[in-house]
Parts: sequence; C-alpha cells; structure tokens
Amino acid sequence: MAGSGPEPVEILESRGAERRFSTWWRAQSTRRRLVLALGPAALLVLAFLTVDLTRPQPPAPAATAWPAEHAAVTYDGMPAGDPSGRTADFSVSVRNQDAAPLTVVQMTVDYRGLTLHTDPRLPVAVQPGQTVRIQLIATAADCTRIPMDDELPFIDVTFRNIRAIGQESEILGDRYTSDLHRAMTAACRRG
Amino acid sequence: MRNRSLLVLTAIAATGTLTLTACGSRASNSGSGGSGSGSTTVTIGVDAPLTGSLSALGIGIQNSVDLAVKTANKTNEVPGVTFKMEALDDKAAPQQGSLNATQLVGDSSVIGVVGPLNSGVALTMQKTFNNANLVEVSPANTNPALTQGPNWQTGTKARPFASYFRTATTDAIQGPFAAQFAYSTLGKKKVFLVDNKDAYGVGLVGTFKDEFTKLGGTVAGQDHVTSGASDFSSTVNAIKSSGADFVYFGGEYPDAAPLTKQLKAAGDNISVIGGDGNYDPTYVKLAGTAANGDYATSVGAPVESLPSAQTFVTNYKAGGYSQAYGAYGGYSYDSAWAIIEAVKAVVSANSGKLPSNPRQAVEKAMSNVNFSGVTGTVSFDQYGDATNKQLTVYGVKNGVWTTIKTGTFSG
Repeated sequence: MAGSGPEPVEILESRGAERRFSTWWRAQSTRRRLVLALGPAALLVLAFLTVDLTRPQPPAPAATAWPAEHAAVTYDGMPAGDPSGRTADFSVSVRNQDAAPLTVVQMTVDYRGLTLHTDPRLPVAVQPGQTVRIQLIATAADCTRIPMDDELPFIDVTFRNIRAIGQESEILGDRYTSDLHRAMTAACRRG
Repeated sequence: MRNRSLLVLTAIAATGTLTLTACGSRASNSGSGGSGSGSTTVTIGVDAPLTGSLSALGIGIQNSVDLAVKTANKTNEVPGVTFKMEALDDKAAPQQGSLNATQLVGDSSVIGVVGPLNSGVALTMQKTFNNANLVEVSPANTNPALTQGPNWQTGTKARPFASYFRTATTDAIQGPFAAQFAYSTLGKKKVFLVDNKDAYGVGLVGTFKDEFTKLGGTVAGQDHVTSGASDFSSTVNAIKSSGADFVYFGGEYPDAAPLTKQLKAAGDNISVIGGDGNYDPTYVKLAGTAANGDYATSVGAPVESLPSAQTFVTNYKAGGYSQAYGAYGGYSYDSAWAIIEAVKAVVSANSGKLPSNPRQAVEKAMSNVNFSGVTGTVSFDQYGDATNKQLTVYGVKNGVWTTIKTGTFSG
C-alpha cells in the first residue's frame, strides 16, 4: 500500500471542474462577477436577519415605575418625650420597593395654619429595598387655620426616580389622624 | 442566466426554510399556554349596565372580565377547569339587578359574579347571592354600607354579607379625600351640594359634606336631581343665587355633564367636582368645553401609570374590544382573577377537582386570596373590602381628563 495516494479519478474530476469554472468565470463581465460574488452573501445576511428577527425575543426589562408606585409610606407614631412650644413630632417610614433608587424630595401638608419640616432634611435617597425613617416636625403657625377633627388628613410626598418626579398624597390612617389632632390641640394650648 | 437563477432559487429556498423554522419555534413557544380544555366548565357571571347611559362603564367591565377568563383558559390557570363568562345587563336599575341575581344563582355552573357597577343595584343583589353562597366581587361599588353595614359612620362596623367583596375603595375615603382636595389644595370654602337621590350619590355627598365642614368649609346650599332629567334649571338657579365657590355632585356623568353645561351656560363658571361616577370621557363629550376646570375623584391609580397594568393594557388592545376598559377595567380584571384564584385554591385542596359544594368552598377561599394583580396586590380585609386603597383626583384640561394627584391609604 506504500505510495498509494488519493484516488486519481477524483483529483482529475476536481481539476476539470475547476478548469471549466475558471473558464466560465473569466467569460463573465466584471459587473456580473460582482453580482455573482456578492449575491449569495447578501442572501445569507437576509436569511440571518430573518431568523434573528423572527426568533422569540426575551421580554424587555421592566421599565422603572413611576416613583410613587413603588414607595410605601407608613406612619410609625409619635416619638417619646414631651413636646414643647407649638411643635409636635411624627415619625414615618419610607420603603423603596423598586429595583431603582428613589429620592424623597419634599413632604408638605396642605393646612394653611401648619408648617412642616423634616429630620433629616430633604432630599433623602432611599436605595432599593431600603427603609428610611423620617421625622416630621409640625409647627402650629396659625391655630385658627388648623382643622382639629377632620377624618382624612394626609401628607403630600414628592418622589423622584430615574424615570420621573411625582407627588402622592399619603393618607396615613386613624392613628396619625388622632395623634395629629391631639398634638396640635396641645400645641395651640401651649402657644 | 440559468446558473444565476439556480443560485437565487437555492438561496430563496434556504432563506424560506430558515424563516419557516424560526416561525415554527415562535408558534411552539407561544402555544405552550394550554387550550383550556378542562373537563369541568364553570361560569363567571357579570352584572353591569350594558345598555343605557352608563353602558360605557358597564361594557368596560364586561370586556375586562372576558379578557381575564380568556387568559385563565389560555394559561391553563386551573388545570381541569375551563372558565366561561355570562354577562347580564342590569340597565343600572336595582329591580333588574335583583332579577339578574336570581338568574345567576339559578345557573349551577356560575361559581362567582363580577359586578355590579352601581351601589344601589348591589344592595338588591347581596342577599340573593349570600343565600346561595355565591361570591360577588364588585370592581366599582363604593358605598361603605355594602361591606361595613348601615352604621359604619358611627363606628359600628358589621359585615352584612359574607359573600360580598370589592376591589374598589369606598366613599368613606373618596368623599373625605375630595373634601381635603377642594378645601386645602384648591382653597375653596363654600360648596353647593347636589345628589341624584340614589344610594351612591347620597352616600358620597354625605361623606364629602362631613369632612368639608370639619375642615372649616360651609355649605351654601343643597339640592337633589332626578336621574335622567334633562332640565336642571331650578338647581342651576339655586346654585347661582347661593354664591357657592363650587358644586360637589354625587351621581353619574349622564346627569353631571348636563348640569355643568347648563351651569356654565347660565354664567356661573364655577367648578363641578364629583366622584368616580363622573370620571369617564363621556362626561367631557356631553359637557363640551363647559367641562374644563371640573374635577372628579376615581378609584385607584391611573391604570396606565401602574407597572403591574402594562400587560393588561397590551392584552386589552390586542383583544380587539371596541369599547375602552374605562375607569373600572383593571379592577374588573382583578375581580375576575380573584374568583379564579379562589377556584384554583379550592381545586388544589380537593385533589385537583371541584368539590361537591364549590360555591361554599370558593366563598371561604376568597378571604385568603392574595395575588399581584393589575391594580397592585389584591386581597380582602375582614369586611370584604380591598386592602389596596388608592384613589386619584382628575381634572378636565382642554377637553381631556388629566391626572392631578393620587392618594394612597396606608392606615
């Protein structure tokens, strides 16, 4: 078996085909050669794109929600200690339930006779999954303009995330309502 | 030429094969949701006004339940159970609602009912459903008495019917929230109150009035209109002569829209503020430019703003429904899905089959339902009220309802 090579017939056939193709190729015009050379490549690109575009796409990542939609604000109560002057403190927790960071920009009350400050001062950043406690320091500026028996007082909180800035009214519930009335009645009495 | 044609044909064939392969794989993936070919078929009933002046809201409810049913079947949500929907038109009339309740109870395949729209209609249906242990979940009723009993305002809350649930928040929050908005945010001090004499309108005006006066506001006058009337001139005259800053209206848009139109036409360009019954594009359509500057509160946050609602909005559009899902669409879908979740729990606890007393079992399972729905987390408290309590103030600007602010009750 030594010296035996590839079967001669196959080699000859191949060479013959190459010869016939090169003769035919040289006979074509330059423009036609270009079309023949690039045509299959273009079709392959088309086929690839067709496959790619019709392939089921993974779901788009969820858009970051409007900031208020994933912020939970809850009332924690009044801190221990004796309030003085015309002020009273209330404590709230802000939890960021989104995957994106959130900023508490502002907290206000609509009562004309009441001013509100916070500790820490705003804005405050709340990281995803984090809860931040904020102290509301309410001052009775004009006791004649503070309702003392309304049922649904709320605070307006402005939130910001990478998508938008938005405000939500946080209705903190019965415990906040009764603490607010009691504290403001006492503050107005002291003042 | 023949060589080129051969090359092109080969490429097209290859491309076609690849394309078909790609399409095939997509169909295979999307088709994995199941066909809903369960052995037991149960019906989710719908009761809503499907004709008449409130049909825009009612058809939105019907379509949203239809979408929930189709989705549950497609995803084979409860293996072995196929859902179907049967919708009845109550024409916003309590008497018709009562007849519908009897009809739905009489159909043994009905496992739960979504509806009605109107609190006044619900009052006539509750007992019939309760006697049959047939769960009723309303996406729209806001009268507090439906869940907390007639003495809720004096602090004596007692659940009248164990089979009644709702996904919408109540007028115990809606009225006071509107009062706070009018008095504190808008700075309005004198109100003229108008209601349409039905349970919803009277109740809503009552909760608004209570909070508004506690805040320091005054009531300049009060009147009642007959639902369906077209001439509100005597009420308009009373409003004009009262010197009110604004009107608070308890009722629905078919009456509120002509009232605001006639009021503005009479030269009294004050805002009309109403509840969820006013919040519909038809209000603006009927009132025209007179609606500009008017406000309405409605249940929930704007569906379009909720990340949880995007799939619902997309699927509703894809569903080809001709009417909008409206103010209660998201809540209707969630109401239907709450029933589906309860059926799922019941079947799961009974070796994959519906028990012999499915209605009772579903009623019992409802209190433990808890899922992430279109409008957020859906679950019910001890009264059957939604634990997720949100509402939004909308205002008409340049002929379009726009969002002013959303309130969330966390107490």
